[in-house]
Amino acid sequence: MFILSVLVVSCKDKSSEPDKESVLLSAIHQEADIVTTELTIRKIAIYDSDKTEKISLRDPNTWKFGSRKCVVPVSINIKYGYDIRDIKLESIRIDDSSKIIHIKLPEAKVIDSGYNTDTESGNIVCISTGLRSAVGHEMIETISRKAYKEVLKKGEFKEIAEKDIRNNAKMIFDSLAKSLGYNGVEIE
Amino acid sequence: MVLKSNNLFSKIYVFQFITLSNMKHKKTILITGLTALIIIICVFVMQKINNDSEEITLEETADAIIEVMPTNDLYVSTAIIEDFTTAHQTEYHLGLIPEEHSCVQVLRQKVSHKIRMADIKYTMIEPKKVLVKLPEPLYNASTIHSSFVSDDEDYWYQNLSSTKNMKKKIEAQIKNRFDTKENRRKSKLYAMQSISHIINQLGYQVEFEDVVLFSPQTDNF
Repeated sequence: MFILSVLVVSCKDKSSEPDKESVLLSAIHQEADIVTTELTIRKIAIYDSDKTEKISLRDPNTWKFGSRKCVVPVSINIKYGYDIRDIKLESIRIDDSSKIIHIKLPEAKVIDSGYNTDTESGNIVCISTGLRSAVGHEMIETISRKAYKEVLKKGEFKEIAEKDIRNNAKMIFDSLAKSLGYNGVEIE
Repeated sequence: MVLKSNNLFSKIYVFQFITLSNMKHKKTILITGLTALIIIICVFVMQKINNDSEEITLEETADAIIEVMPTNDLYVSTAIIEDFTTAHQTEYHLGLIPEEHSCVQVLRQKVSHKIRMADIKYTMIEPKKVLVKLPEPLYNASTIHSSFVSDDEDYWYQNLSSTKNMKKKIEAQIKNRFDTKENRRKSKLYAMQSISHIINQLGYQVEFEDVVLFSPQTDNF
């Protein structure tokens, strides 16, 4: 009885909250990125199984009774800017007469991006009919993740925000130049 | 003779009765067996069909840019950290039979330290020398991957209204791992190197207030 109770207690200890060790996927990387523009994008992720699933008589995996539909709004945050390390001496030209610094900026890039995982349940619409399983948290996470990856992959925001990115970069380097006693910056 | 014939008839009757009973018994077994077979086939077919583990394809929709804001942040160090948390619940069928349920919420974040460029103070101490005072690095986290895994999606959909609290817990765990004193000191060092680079390109020497000396300690993970 004593041995049994010890075994039960030890099993209970093992099944209690496990040690949550963070998994570090990469070490710290040194960065030198100036973020000049922050974009907030709202993507409405729509999944309709009727439009994407095809039934094949040879494959029982495609036999489904009913359908699943889901609409998930995803808020995506993208930070755009420049890598300082790409700004070399030859990129900078100082006009001593006008005290204006001319900078040739490198290609702008996505410095940081992420999506909001706290979508309010009231904003999500999910329907499953027939014998299909309910649209649960797992499916909603998958849809949100796919929407985020698609926005980054398509990159439509780059063209739209290009002008704003250059203007914002000028503003930032302007303030740096003025603090060093110059009259401003011209972006080439 | 009559008695013998009676015995024979009774034997025949008994034989007929036994045979008929056996036949009825066999019929019952056959019907039960066939029913069981049909049920097994139906269960097998139901498991094969309505398989929702396939790749999800989203419809084409427009990306609506809600806001474009100027920012003035210098990102000096970054890492990708993934962490998880679990939840367990017991479901009682008919109030008596317990069934254990478990789920796992996983979150992967890109975390970084950033310096607000607007908070950097520049003071000219000599014609070509600048004294720079850096502010404290700020912690920044962006979620790049989130997933939820459970033993019973239907159960957790009905009994867990939102995964928000689980995600907040993971975010705090990740912050504790990255936003340490040692990592902040390291980030400040990286910021010094980045600012020096850009100001040197403009032809100035840089000196920093509250110089941070390099520590032989490694990353505090």
